Amino acid sequence: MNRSALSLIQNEDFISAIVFAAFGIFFVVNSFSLPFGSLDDMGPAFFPRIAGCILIAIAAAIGFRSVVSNTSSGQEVFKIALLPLMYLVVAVFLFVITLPSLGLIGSSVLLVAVSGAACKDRRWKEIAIIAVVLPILVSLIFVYGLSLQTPLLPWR
Amino acid sequence: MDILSNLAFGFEVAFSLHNLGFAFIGVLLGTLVGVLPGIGPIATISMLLPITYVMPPVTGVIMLAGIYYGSQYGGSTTAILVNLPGEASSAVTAIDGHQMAKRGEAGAALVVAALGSLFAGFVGTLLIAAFGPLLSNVALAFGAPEYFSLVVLGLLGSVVLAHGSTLKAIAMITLGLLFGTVGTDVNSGTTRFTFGNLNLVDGFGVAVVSMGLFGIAELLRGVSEPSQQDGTANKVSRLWLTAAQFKASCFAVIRGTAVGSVLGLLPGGGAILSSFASYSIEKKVARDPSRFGKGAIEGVAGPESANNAAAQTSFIPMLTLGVPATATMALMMGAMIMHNINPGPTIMTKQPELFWGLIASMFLGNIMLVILNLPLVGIWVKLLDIPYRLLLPGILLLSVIGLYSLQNSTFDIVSAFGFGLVGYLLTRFGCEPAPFLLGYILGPMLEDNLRRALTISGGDPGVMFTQPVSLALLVASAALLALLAAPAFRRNRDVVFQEDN
Repeated sequence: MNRSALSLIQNEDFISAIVFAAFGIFFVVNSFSLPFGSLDDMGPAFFPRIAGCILIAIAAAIGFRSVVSNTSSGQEVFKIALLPLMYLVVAVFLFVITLPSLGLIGSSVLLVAVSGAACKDRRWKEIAIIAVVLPILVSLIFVYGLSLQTPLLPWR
Repeated sequence: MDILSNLAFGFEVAFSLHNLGFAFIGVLLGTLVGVLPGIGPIATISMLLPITYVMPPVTGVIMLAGIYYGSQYGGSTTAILVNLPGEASSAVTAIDGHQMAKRGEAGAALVVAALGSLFAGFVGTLLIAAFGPLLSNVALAFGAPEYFSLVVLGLLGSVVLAHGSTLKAIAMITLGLLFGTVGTDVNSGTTRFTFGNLNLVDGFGVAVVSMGLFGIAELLRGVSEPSQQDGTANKVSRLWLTAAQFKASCFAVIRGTAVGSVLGLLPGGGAILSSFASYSIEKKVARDPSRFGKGAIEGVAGPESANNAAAQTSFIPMLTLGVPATATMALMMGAMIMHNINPGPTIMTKQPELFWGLIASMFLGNIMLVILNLPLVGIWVKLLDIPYRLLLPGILLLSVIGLYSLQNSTFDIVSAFGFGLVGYLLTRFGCEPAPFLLGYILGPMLEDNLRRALTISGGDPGVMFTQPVSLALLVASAALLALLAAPAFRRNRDVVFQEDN
């Protein structure tokens, strides 16, 4: 029992089915607060609820098929390198948080620096250079070339 | 002839300095993106969507289109020289093209790829010019039931011809449909699934979804799954074709163009399928199939022509019927809608300068590409030496600022990143993002036409089956579904895509 449960969790089809079912249920449940209407006068909930039900049905089919026949590609699918992903999450997070306070160039420097550090073969000198060059270049293109209205630096 | 006068009008539009300039920028960017692995035309088009805001719609569309067919050219350059197809559609070219390069025939391979693509581009553009207006007239007779069934066929068709699990792809389409409902319901004015968040009142936005799913997801993949590069670039010999090579590739080019033109029209067809199909055909038709895989010039000429022909003709269903055949076309359609242009039968009458200007610009773009790709080959190959660790922060920065520039909102950045994360994870579980994008963009159209059809018929869903055209389209959809279930088809489908990984 234990082994088959473990192999289920490692079966990407089964996990996909769970994810799809979750989304389907989410949309269907949240559609109850909206009027459904009738066939000749579709309300806002009509389409999402039906599409959600279809999604749940497809998820059930995928899940069923994954349990009945062993369709898994094995464990490699789940070996997700979390650390580089985390670097990128932090980089974007820093950008979003510091944009109002540090200006466009300032937050871009943080973004480039942290994302540059995400790659395994990073070299600090290179990161230092691109962390200065890229933000200035790109920010100037957007603010002066494309009239993006946003302060470049903290004190402007 | 009407076509000639329309084309003349189109050339007038395309030759304006503005449009010429942006066409050049588009094909240049397209080639660049085609050369570099790790960033593709969909991600680039998404990133440039905000930039097209500041230009007239015709110019924007010309540039974005240039990126698309330009990337087909760029991908083949690296496929031949470095065995690194920058684009999936060039994967087949790499098979024989790189072998030719190893034999010192890189120049011939490049020339045949470029000229074949040029020929295919011309033919494809002519087809749009000739059949576009015809198809539009047919579509003018379409009512709501017909459009509904057409979208259903389009969505299902895109799954049949794509690779990967069909059920998961249909699930992704449905998920896309659901996400497309987030925002304000046009019909009733009520907000759906916004949970009080003001940023979601207009939905997520096409640029956010596509940049997240294709741009950011690709970056996440690049950083967590670094690929090994076969960096041995071969010296480029003389850029010339011998008479024998020309003769050998001539018919391959014509066959490839035919295959690509037809397959480009079909939903889910597009450049990738066309190049694979052309390769299979060339192998079957050749007098000595054993040459394939060792540097047969037909193995380069056919697929390259096919993928470029498909890139051009895939515009047809989107422009004339308003139903995109592939995710890229769906994105182009999204771009046009953002500019308040509605692709469809009315585009010929309401925005003729867009339609004919785009066609003429494609002619010019193909010529520009040959000039760009042949003499400047060395530069493109040098670009491949830029390590990904330097490209990544640059692309990320461009994406993030581009997303911010859409509405001066950091919410867009965060939601795009969310799409990217979930999209990347789903891709690892075998769920492709392209069907999602198609569902997302076509969802509103599906719902709208369903509602109209039902309202007009007084609540009778049978109206989809009583109207002849609609019935035919739905029967075709059912046939496609049945085809998917048939084991013989499934085997062949997997064979075609065997090379893709």
